[in-house]
Amino acid sequence: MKQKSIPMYAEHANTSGFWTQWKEEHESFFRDVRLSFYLFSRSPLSLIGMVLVGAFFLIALIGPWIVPYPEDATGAVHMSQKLTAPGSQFWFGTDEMGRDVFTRVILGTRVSLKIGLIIICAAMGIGVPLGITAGYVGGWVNETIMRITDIFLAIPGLILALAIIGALGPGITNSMIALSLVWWPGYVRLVQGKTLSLKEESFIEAALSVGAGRARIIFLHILPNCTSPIIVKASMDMGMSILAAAGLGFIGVGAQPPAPEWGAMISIARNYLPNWWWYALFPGLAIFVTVLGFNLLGDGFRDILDPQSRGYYRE
Amino acid sequence: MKRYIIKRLLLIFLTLFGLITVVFLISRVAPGDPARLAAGPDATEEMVEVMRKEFGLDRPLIVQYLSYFKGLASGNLGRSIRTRHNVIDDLVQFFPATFELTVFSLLLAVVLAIPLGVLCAVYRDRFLDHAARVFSVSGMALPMFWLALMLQLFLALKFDFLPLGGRLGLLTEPPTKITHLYLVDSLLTGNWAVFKDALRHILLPAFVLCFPALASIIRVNRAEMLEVLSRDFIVSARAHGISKIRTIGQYALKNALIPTMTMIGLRYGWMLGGTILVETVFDWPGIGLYAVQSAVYSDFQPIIGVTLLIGINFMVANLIIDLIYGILDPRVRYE
Amino acid sequence: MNTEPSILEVKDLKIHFDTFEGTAQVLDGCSFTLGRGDTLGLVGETGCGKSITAKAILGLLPVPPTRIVSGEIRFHSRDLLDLSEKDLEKIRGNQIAMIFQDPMTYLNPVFSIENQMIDVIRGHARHANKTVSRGAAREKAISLLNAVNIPNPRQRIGDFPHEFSGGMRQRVLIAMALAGDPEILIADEPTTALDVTIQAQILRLIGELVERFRHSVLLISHDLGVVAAVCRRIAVMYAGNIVELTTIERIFENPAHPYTRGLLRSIPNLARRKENLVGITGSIPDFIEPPRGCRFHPRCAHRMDVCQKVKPVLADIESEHRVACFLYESSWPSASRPEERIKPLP
Repeated sequence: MKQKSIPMYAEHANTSGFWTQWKEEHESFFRDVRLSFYLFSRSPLSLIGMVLVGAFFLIALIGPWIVPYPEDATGAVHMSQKLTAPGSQFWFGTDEMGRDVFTRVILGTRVSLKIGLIIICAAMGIGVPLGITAGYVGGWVNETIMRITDIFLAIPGLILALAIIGALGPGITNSMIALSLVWWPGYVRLVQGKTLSLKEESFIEAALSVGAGRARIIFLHILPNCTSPIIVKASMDMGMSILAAAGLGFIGVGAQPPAPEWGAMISIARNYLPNWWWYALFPGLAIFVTVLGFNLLGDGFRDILDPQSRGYYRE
Repeated sequence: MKRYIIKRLLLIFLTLFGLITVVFLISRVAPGDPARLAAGPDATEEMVEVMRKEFGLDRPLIVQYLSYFKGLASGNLGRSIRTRHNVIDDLVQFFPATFELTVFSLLLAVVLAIPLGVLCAVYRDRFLDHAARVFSVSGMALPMFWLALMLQLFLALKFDFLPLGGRLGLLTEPPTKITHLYLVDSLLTGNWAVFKDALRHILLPAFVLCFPALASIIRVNRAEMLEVLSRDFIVSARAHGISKIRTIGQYALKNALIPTMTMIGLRYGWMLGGTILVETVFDWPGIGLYAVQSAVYSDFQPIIGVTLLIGINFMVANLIIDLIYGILDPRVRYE
Repeated sequence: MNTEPSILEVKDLKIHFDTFEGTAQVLDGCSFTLGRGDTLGLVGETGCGKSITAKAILGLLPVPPTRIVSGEIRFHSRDLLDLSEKDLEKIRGNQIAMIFQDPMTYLNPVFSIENQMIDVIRGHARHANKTVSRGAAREKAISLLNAVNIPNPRQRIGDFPHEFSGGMRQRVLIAMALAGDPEILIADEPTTALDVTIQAQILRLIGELVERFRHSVLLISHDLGVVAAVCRRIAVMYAGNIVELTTIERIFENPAHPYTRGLLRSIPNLARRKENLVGITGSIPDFIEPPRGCRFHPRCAHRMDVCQKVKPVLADIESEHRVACFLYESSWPSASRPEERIKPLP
């Protein structure tokens, strides 16, 4: 498209109207961007989501340099100050080993970010290629891939993850492997459906008719058109996978203490309720706020990127 | 119709077959040594070897796979190392508790979520809608186990308002076993005291378990109602003088319920998954707790049993939902 | 001459529609009347505000984003815009009924025709403080389906909308509109979504029903031919304004507004062959920033300076012929013939 329009521009370039001309040509694109900003800015919840996610990334990034007691991240023991209530010295109190809960919650951000990113990347790495292959090639390849996907979707992810951990043994790495193995089918479904509908579109047919190769069509036409639903899903899944990993940590088959993982922390803290409530409260709040941020952001993205929800304002 | 159901049941059977294969492959191809896992952490080399022989793990993979199926066909799901019972017996014992909890919780979610979803759509962008949106977005973000602990902390420990866990109080005698669902059994036998006790015990876990479902059913129902309310036939119903309440509560809702049903079916499955967290917190003697305890012990056979049982449940639930579809939507043809 | 008193009077109706790009002024002071037994056609291009007018009469516009800025809709001396939702429910279907464009989407897909019709009939009865049993309502529904020529109504009444053809569905909708025995029937593009042969049948049916029941009809269409088949009078709409309001004969013999003339010339017809078939240049204006003065002026071959500054009002140029155009300014006080003043159009 772009190469085609260059000579057209050249004709008009000598006139002062080049800029206006360019603007007019891309009017619909600008309209879209303006509409996106309008929709995003009129949704305070999306903005909150953005701030929360931004803060999460920032804290994960600089966490080790801002926490008051970096050595509490792992096995440090200060029995003299165990289970101290929240105060000016320990904002979130201390745990049964005298470690600062605030420090551990902040450092838990890193663990969660790592877990979320690895699971989503692995799920996309398996799911997206399979989905495109199934949708694009069709026939028995499509049937085989989709039937296998259905098997994985026939059972709640958390249970299957537990079964996989049962085979691999408990631990944070194994729980990430397990969650990655149950997370990809959603992407296959999404991408396959999108590829199928894109194949019918006239611009793909046009590309085929001028002899564009398979790789070219997939990378230039299909993949870019799948990005917006993938972004929405990935943003939602980031939160959901963090939640699932924390759940596995809580029941004792995920991250093992003393790693500063929120779910595992709550798992220990449970034994210290109700008197030492802060120990369980703050890691839980951290999970909640993080997952909430990703959900709100994903919601906001969907409102913007989903053409259906825009219709109301287009009328 | 009959042919459709048979076809679906066949499909469920095939999917289960696939599921078993997947689980089998994971358990055998996994880097861990199942014999060592089964023998326990303190086992000597000889004991592991004995285990390997006993479980047939020294035979080729395909032979193991076939013999595994032969066992399944005769209802043999293996034995639990931890409880020393046959897995199938354990499942029969623990499943009613989970089923009762899940169904009660799902009903709770549906009864609360559908009217709320409708109201949100009708009062779009008003206070109630915003409040429900905040509630449902945060409902899906709340870690269930943490919510459970916090509710326990406040309602059970601080105020002694509801019991801490379990299905019945220590001193309460379980009702005569008819359906094995305590709420139903106590009602059938007219045993009010037990019914009240069972209800008090189920409220907290059911509420926690239904929380994410509540949130997502509200959202789906709201979105569907909005979609339906903008359709032409709503305008024509109003133009023909049908009252607003009837238009919303009958004409629109029946249309909106069709996609909402799909979400309800999905949620049933996810709730079964959620039981592993909720039952752990509330000490609810169901298959979720059973699976978790087995996983912690690396006791593999029970987990497979639970996985298959939940898989069957989920698929049958989806079949039922599809049949309800046909009642709601006359355009559906079963082929 | 329209001797009967008017039962519906729309006066200077202004409706705005809020969009994210600004406020669209979709109806800009629209006025017309409808007498008892009168048949008025509302004609204009898609998007000129015809359907908005119809929905406004029954209070069916979604608020927000629509806003009724000013004006009156008088029905028997009551202003419909002032009525509560409850009072409107009594009028809808009972006194003013509506037939819609696409019979596919205007019937509820998950209820049988029987249930939908019985609901409508019993609803009307309830508004009149009467009760009708389901059985009686069913009988009435069957007789209504009979009246709109649906074969085997007794067998077909239990069917669902998707089991009917497009034309049959439109008949069902007409039957539902007749259920309350309304004084006014508003038909919003009733034949647009149908095949040509079915169109003629439906138009004939509407014509017959009007003869038989003496309804007043407001027929909305983009097609002059459809309006000519049913209506006695016609109002031509352009971009939210009525530009010409007269009888059907006069619109074909002596169209006055430049837009009406353009509209007539864009109808293909055997006598006027291809070379004479001309459309109107340009397209419907932007409603958010509409042209100042007469909204038609950017497309008008006769525009004058005044057209770009002042909005012309709808005024008599002869009896039963009102036009909103400055070409006829001099004839406004007296009713002289307009032809002498304008140059013949090219």
